[in-house]
Amino acid sequence: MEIIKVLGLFLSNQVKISPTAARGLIKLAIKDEIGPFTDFSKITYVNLQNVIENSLRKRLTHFKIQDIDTLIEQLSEELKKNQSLITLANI
Amino acid sequence: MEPIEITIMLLGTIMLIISLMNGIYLLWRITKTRLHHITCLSAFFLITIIEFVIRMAYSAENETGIVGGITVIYYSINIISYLFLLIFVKYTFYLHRKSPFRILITTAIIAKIIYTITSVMYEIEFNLQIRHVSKGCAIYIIAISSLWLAYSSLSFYKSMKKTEIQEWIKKRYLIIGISAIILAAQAIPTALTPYNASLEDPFMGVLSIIHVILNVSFAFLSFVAWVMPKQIKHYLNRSFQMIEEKEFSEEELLAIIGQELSKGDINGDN
Repeated sequence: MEIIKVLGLFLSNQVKISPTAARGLIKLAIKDEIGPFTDFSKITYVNLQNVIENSLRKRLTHFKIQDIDTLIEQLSEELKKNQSLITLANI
Repeated sequence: MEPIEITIMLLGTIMLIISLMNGIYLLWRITKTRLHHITCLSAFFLITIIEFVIRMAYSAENETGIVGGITVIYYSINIISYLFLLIFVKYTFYLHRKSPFRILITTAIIAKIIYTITSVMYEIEFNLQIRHVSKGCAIYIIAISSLWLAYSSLSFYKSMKKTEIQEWIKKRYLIIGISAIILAAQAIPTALTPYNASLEDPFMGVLSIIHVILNVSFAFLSFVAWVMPKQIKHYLNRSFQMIEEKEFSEEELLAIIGQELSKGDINGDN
């Protein structure tokens, strides 16, 4: 899913991990939030917003990433900026 | 029937069929994706068809010289599809983001009310000043909704040009942007249409042909952008290299992230 790719790339640059690992972390957070058998192509903007605010925050806290609040805010902004991808990549 | 009338009717029918396909396809996709705001885009295409059908009934009533219920219904429904387009742009590009949506939708609703009242008034009074107001409102609604869609799509396309997103998705933004400019261009023949002119007037004939060609082009490009048959998708994606995503268990992934964070190693693949 393209929005995960975009958010993964952003997270990878911010936290200094590989894009693959960043995408994997986001997918894990989605499964934490929505359920283990989530169809990534059916995720909505609101779903992703909740994922970033809740489960991804927890996952990042586990890794003791510094200044998580700013990072979560930046990720939410990145999602807002790229939200049209959810629609245009899924129709 | 004059050749020009046959041409317009033929092109109009093509436009209606393509718009119907667009509207139904989008409705079907809502059931698959749960992206409910697409209803607005589907409504945009389907209401365009209703507008066209009512327009034919209106033309028949108009020939009798009576300003009846069909005229009122026609002007009440006409151009309303563009309000749905504005809502679609808001929910696709600007949810929880700053945007001119409130101003655009408020002014568009006011313009639509004025358009409906002045259009019906003109049918009764034939006052050219009233007609100017009615036309101005129609042009305003068409222009703001389609140009906002064009701006949103094309600016996103520009910002995404170098990102590793599949080519067909990037091109979808481009095609939507171009089609929206074509939609906005409809305002030009609308503005230039002379009052009380018939298709026998050569200028009116040319304008009508241009208008209907713009309509068909918009419907066709929308079909390519939204329905996008698989062959077109594969063709647009021909230069894009799909990277096979490695599958890791949760434990493996957490161990990799832990290692990368401790080493500052970001040499993994993309």
